[in-house]
Amino acid sequence: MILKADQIVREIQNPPNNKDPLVITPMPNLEDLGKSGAASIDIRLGCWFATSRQTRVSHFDIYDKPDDIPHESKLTKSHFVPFGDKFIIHPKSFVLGITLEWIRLPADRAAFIVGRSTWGRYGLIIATATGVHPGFTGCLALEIANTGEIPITVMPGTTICQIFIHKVESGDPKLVDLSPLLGRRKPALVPIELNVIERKLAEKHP
Amino acid sequence: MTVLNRSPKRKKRPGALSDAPISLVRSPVQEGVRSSGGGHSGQTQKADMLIIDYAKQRVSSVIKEIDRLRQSEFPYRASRDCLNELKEIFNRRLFALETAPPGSASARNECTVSLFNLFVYLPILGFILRSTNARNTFEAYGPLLQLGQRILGKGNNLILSSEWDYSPYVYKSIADLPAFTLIGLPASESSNPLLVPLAGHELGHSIWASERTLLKFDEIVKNSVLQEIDKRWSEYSEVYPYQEKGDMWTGKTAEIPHLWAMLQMEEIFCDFVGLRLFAESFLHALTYLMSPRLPGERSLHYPNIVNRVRYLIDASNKFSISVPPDFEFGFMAEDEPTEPEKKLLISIADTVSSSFVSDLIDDVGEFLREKDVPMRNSDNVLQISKEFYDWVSPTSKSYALVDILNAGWNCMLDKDLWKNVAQVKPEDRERVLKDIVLKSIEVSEVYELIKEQS
Repeated sequence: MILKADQIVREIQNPPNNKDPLVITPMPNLEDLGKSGAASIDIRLGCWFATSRQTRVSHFDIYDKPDDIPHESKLTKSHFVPFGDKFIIHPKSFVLGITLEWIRLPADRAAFIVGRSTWGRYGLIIATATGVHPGFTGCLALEIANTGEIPITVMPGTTICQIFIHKVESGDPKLVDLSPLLGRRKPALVPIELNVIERKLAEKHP
Repeated sequence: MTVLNRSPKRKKRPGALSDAPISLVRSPVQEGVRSSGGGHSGQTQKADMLIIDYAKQRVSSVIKEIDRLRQSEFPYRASRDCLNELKEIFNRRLFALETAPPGSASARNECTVSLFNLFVYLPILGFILRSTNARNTFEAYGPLLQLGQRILGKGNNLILSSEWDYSPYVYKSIADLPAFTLIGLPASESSNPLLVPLAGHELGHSIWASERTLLKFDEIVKNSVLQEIDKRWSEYSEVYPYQEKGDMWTGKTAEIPHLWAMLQMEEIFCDFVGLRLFAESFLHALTYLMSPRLPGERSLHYPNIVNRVRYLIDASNKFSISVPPDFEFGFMAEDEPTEPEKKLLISIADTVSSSFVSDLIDDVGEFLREKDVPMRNSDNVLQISKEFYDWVSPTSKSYALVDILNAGWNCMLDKDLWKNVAQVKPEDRERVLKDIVLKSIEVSEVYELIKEQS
């Protein structure tokens, strides 16, 4: 069940479980949100970006030996853009952004992030990894691609995507998201780790 | 100069070409440069042309470098503004070199002044370049700038950067850049928001310089040194058997402990500024950075670390700041000099500087009260700590920087922090906490910006 905005406002203001609340900070304008009738909350762009360092690595291959896989600092460059400054996303380029909001989901709530069609119509596509699991806490990394033909300017604090929050009705509430992506304020690359089965399947077979 | 009383490789201040105290080093302008003398030979003329040509090339190279640096991604305007001012300084130097009559003494003087400027300003260019590095705590910049402007005036600009030297550092008294305060944290710690309180000590140096505290105390400290020598005359005359009470040599010798006492008092003053601005978090940050002590003989420009700690405890009691129970025990006395002359003079400087501790506490308290700098609010610190601890989330409201940093330290020192929170692995605990502290600073800034606009 997806929560409507007025329900989200109620949950932020009066958490059903004060030990495990829904937190969105900085908070949206709760008064406007409560009246909006929407089933999502608008989410703003934060101040940190990461761009590719294309010329420094020959390739990225997770099947390489761990020591041969390039470190994050070799693959990306971090940028801090203060409020009031612009960041230009050029056509056919891909950058990692981050939400301004730090989001904490209780154990019985999950969410998904989607871009806004108003931006999408100009070619700006946001977020491919959209699922946010119960117990997540942190800013959400946004995978931003300009698929259009003209450069697009964005600024921190601008509404760029939306989050839908839904109720998780079954399962053990003690089991929560253990993603290495949580608890971060900057976009980050985390190593893609293969599990045993994936490793087996990746081995050479006669 | 820095919160750390000694680093293995001493950093030179702008204006100091050696480790000698700044007041003892004179610039070529002050000193006057010896002219090449009369009766120029052909060889001297050739050398003169070469010297001026080299000087022009050196200055032009710096100007080109400044132009390149101006293209960097500066997160805040102050760095670029400072570069513009530096460019102006070097443009003036180039003009002076181009217009000086070739072969004249003044041309040689211009060359020397230009060379001196390179020594002074090149490290500052490096510092400004490092202010763009993404490892810096950019989120803390806004609140620190506001704090600096509240204390030093609206026109004060702040550049926050990092140093490849394990010592927070402030470039002070840069005559040509009076509107800029340049504060650097050690590169390995420049992403650590919990060390931001140490910037308070560095801001103290700017207050000391701008409020002319030095002049206020100078004469009275000098007299105290002479009185102390008088009081300990038998001890003194053992070290200086040929001096007589009140003779010119005693006066000359007294200049050394006088200088050391003044430098020590500046550092004590700056400690009190950091303490008053950031309360308990300053004491924690200081302990983190420099406990228990550095090996070898103590610096003469700072009180012995155990005395510094004692003075901070005295000031904490006056400012109603709770001293962490183990604060005093985290430090060990540094080695005192053993050479009789140095031992006597530093002991005089120590006695004199320690006699002014109470005045310095009052001075700092009064100055910051006049500037309406708020004290840490214990209720807010408790509320923020609770949000960090219970919810693994940044603050949901706007809070003062000092309250956020103190809450951060409360959590950092809690061994049980997030012990039962499965999402935060023990190895990630510190990183997550630092991110939450920085995000809280940013969240507070967002609320303040929205408030300003509405």
